[in-house]
Amino acid sequence: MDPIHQFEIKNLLPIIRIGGTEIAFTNSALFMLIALALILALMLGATRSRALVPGRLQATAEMVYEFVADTLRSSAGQEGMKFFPLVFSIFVFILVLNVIGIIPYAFTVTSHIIITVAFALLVFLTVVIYGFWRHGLRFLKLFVPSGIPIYILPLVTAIEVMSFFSRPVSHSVRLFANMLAGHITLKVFGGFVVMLGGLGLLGWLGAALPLALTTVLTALELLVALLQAYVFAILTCIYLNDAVHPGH
Amino acid sequence: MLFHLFFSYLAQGAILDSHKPNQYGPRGLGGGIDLAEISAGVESMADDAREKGDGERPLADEAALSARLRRLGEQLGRVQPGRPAESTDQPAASDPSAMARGFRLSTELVAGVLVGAAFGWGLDYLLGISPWGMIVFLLLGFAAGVLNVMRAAGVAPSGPLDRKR
Repeated sequence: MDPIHQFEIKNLLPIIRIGGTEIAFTNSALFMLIALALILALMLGATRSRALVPGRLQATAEMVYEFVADTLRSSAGQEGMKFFPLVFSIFVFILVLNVIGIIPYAFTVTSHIIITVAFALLVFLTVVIYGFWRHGLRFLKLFVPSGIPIYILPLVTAIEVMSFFSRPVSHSVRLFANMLAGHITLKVFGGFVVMLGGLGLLGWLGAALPLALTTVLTALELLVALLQAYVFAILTCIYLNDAVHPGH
Repeated sequence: MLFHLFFSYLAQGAILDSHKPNQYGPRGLGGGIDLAEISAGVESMADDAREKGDGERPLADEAALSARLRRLGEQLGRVQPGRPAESTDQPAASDPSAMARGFRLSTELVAGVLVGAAFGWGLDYLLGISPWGMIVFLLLGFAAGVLNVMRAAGVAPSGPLDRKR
């Protein structure tokens, strides 16, 4: 009945020690592996036949591919296409993790902030490192808007820098908070059904309302799962655009 | 197929995290509108009205006026694309993308403030200038958060980079 209980990390295998670090295989790791296996099965199955007229599986994979490619191309340009493997991996991985999380008894990997922070930092560091490697110090023009009077420029630059550093925070918190809040809501309404159902006939009548709400919320959660994966990918593209074209 | 439909619906800008953030933006700030052109149009309209103000041909005048009004409406529509349309397009309460939008805006603001606080605390800790780093950077972080929100909501151009497009 505890709505937080579903997010608990459990060790599934005995902890292995390598050097001073503990290596644990948790339920989070298990579900990441499951997601990976699903993606691999989809992609390998889709590319096995390589038909000119695609079958169902191949059409799905092609749709996902074209969707990500269009998104990336329209926000980061042709030059941004070299980041396609990164964006595609992030999008599909988060999408599958989110969708798996809706299945009852499954663990939602993306509802842990450490996971989403790792994704967001991956994108952030890619932007920073590639930006400096490609453009050198010209990358810093990102923080200096042109056409600003000199006496206000330091302030504006400081604000732009803060804005830049707040990106990975909002990028990660959005995905994490959406998944966490949605799953807690589902659990709370599910808990209402069980509690009211224990009260006899009147309780059964009362339980109908939260049951209906749970059904609707599950559909909403599916939407949120797709939406948040999409939003994460879109923002990744927008941020990568800064690395590819700083200072335009 | 459903999958594709869903995402193409998203890609049409049903939510704020559109990949073309600079389709918004106030007039004259990179929105691709020339302020001078608009004001020139308004002036010439006023001039026309004065010239034909003697009331010789009221019918032709009215037709011209309505034509001009229509043109002005079109121009306004170009200045603020989809402004009336968008607000009527979106169903109010039960729209999940509205929730996503609210969520996005709130996280943007909170992220700015948090990053400012973290920077201030770090500077205080490293340089030993105790309250000042926190004071200055918390304010800067708040400003950055507001800037983030304005960018996410499309009322400010989405960065110094996007001026050209």
